[in-house]
Amino acid sequence: MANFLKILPFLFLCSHLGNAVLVPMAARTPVPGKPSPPGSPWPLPKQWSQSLTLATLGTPEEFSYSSNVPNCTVLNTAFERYNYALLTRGTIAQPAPDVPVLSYVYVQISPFPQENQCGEFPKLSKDPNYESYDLLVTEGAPDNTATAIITAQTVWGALRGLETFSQLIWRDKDWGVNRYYINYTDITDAPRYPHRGLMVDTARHYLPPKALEEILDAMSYNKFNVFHWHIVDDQSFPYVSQKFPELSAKGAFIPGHLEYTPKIVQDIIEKARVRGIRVIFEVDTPGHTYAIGKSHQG
Amino acid sequence: MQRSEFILIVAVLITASCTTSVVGFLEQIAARLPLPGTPSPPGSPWPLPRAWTRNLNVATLSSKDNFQYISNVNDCRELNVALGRYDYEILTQKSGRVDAASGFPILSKVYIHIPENARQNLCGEFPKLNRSLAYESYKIVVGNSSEGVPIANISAETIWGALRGLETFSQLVWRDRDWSANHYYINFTEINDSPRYPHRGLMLDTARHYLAPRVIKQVLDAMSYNKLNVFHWHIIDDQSFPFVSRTFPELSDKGAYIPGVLIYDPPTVQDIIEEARLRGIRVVFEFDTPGHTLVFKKSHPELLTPCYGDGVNPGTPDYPNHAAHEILDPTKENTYTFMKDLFTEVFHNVTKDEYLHLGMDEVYYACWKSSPEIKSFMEKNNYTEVNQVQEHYTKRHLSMVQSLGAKAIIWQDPLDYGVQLDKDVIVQIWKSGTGETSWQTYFQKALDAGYSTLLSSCWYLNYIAYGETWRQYYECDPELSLPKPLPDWQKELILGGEAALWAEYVDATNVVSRLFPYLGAVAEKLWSTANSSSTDDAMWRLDEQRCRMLGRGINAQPIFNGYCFPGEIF
Repeated sequence: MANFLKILPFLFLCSHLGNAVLVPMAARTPVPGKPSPPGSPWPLPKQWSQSLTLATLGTPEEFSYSSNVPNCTVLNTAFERYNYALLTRGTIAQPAPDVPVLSYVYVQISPFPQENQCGEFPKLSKDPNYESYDLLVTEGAPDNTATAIITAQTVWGALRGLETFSQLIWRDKDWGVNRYYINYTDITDAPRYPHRGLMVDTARHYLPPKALEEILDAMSYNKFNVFHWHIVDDQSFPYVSQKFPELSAKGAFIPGHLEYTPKIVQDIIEKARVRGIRVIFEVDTPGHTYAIGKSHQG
Repeated sequence: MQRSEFILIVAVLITASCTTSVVGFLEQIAARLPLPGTPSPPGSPWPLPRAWTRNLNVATLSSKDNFQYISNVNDCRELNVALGRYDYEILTQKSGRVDAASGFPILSKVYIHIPENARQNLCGEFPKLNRSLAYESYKIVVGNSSEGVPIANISAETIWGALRGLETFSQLVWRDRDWSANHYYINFTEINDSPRYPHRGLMLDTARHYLAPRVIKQVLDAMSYNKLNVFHWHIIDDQSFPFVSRTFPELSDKGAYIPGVLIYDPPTVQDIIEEARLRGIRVVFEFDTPGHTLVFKKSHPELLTPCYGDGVNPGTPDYPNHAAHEILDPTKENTYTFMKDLFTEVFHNVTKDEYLHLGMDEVYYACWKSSPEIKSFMEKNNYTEVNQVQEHYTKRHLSMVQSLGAKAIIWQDPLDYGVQLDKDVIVQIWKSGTGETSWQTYFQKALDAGYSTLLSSCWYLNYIAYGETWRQYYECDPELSLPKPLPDWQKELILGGEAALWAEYVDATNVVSRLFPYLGAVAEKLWSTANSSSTDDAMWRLDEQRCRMLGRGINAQPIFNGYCFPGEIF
């Protein structure tokens, strides 16, 4: 939340929350392509149909998440992350008049732990339903409310669905009001490929854990599911090995400071897990091993 | 540790090279490629001073309570503000509690000396283009006073020289490599310094993307750390008009990205000019015409030339050759009247500099060539080529600006079309190609014609690439990169240059890291004596400069593998 508030001024300045504005490079080269409607998801879902019927966001008290699987850390932390404050950029929304209020989001996954993967670590799976989800934004109960229903077979699909849901909300173009809308929508989505990753090199330059966490967050906004951690290389050995502590004691850029202790590593693995992201470690050999030579010349 | 041991170790470290050393924080790209160049000692200034003697005698910085600046002039506001900026916190990179190291002589007093006469020291003035050696020169001596106590003396002929000297002094202070020790040192030093060129600038584009005033001020700060002295403000363009004109408020009411919000109103503009002035930086406004004016269409479509894309009707486009309307209409008197009113406001009520940048670049002819009005205009004036129409506008506009009392800077384009102008117009060379269109060819042509010139071509910081692009900026020299040696009279025509950051892909999220520390390479090229350092040697000093900027809150990106602990920000 603190990080979010830090970037809030930039968000205010450069986005219209769905009305992001592009302008031509030069008078004679108009902007190509067709502008997308506000609240367009990225990446594009497999099937997406958007109605012109709108719902609006009300006060924080009127909004809630629930699911059919209680006590699931992955879901509960996701509800925290995709909370009202994220959807309204830390503000209190003014509901648009005469428009149903989106009041709850219901996540439905398999109630059986082994199948819903709650408590598990994400894996490489060729099962087409591993990360698939359905998202329906439609009228709710009681009257004048709307609801979003995310259906998935695993928590990983639920996470993807929550991310998409959060992207469907857009702000009124009139800056004078703080109104948020969501179109009635029907989405069926599943990834084309099961391994969608980012490789990060933390040996040529040390990246503080906070930076890695921010990257994991942003990866989840784009539905990435693999963090390939190129953790050591010629230049430095920041990984603290308990079996060979001299590797980082001699090889880290600044031993004791620019390193990844076991606690830090496990913390990142867990932060990745609750975002449906696998962490794959790369210890590159036999080349790219100069930093190992600082403690083990032979 | 004994002082003599310390000195020995420092001497050994200075002479050691190619080590993953404690002096530099750089690491090799690959095992088989050792680091080139000679590591610089800690506390090495950037840009490199003209004359710098560094002694191995070292003093330690006193604790905060005992440290003071003492200036001989108390009523110079700019100096007092500067002493506030270069305070103990900055010198010690906000490390928190800092102690004098035991066993070392302690430096606690820094004397600053400028002439007492305001007409000489220029306090209260605005910085100008000034070619005299004394204008930004300064001296620093760090050594023992007559009582045998270390003191530092910074002296300059003007407040601007004092600012440059304070910056250098602040760079001489370095931190003990033992992280837990929290001691700072400064070597006994003698520096005599003055800039190679009087115009050392950065051009920022705030039209393709709006930059908040806070961001501009941070860039001004970082410019002052690199001794740059001109902020060329490319404030409007095709895309947006954030400048609030009192004469024509509709220009920003219709032309700003978000009217009332993404704008620079008069108090904001004056505030930025003052923050620049306090750092010895001139603000030169560019209102680019006759091209790059599409935004005027939003409030004053009558100012633009109607194009005949369909060959029949005015105001029809022919993409991608021309839009429906573009380029100021040179055939209408109203165009010239409007520009005169706008520029009168800018010159008399806005800018505090003697120069205005008039733009004049990229006047593409496709629209004019399609227009029967332009055709008959040409016939009426006996013009046979379209570039004569451009010349017509150029000369009228320039003459109007000069009649206001302003001096002009223009991009090179009118010269490329054979336009001949007064020789007191400064020409900024920006194009670069190969052979006949190389920047060297353009630059030489301008010098041969007798124009004062500014170089920008090789310093387009918006062109990013993987690798050490700062090296090509460092190795581009306004004089030495030319194919033949210059006669003295042409050397004198070179005023300096500017790095440019066009902002099609730049906004507050990346402007600072894209500019720094690479802009430092340009800054040293323009300030320091030619060939005073090899690029390989400069790398070490530039890395220290980068780490220094991180410690001052400037999010400068790395130039190589390594680290800057504890300066890295997150």
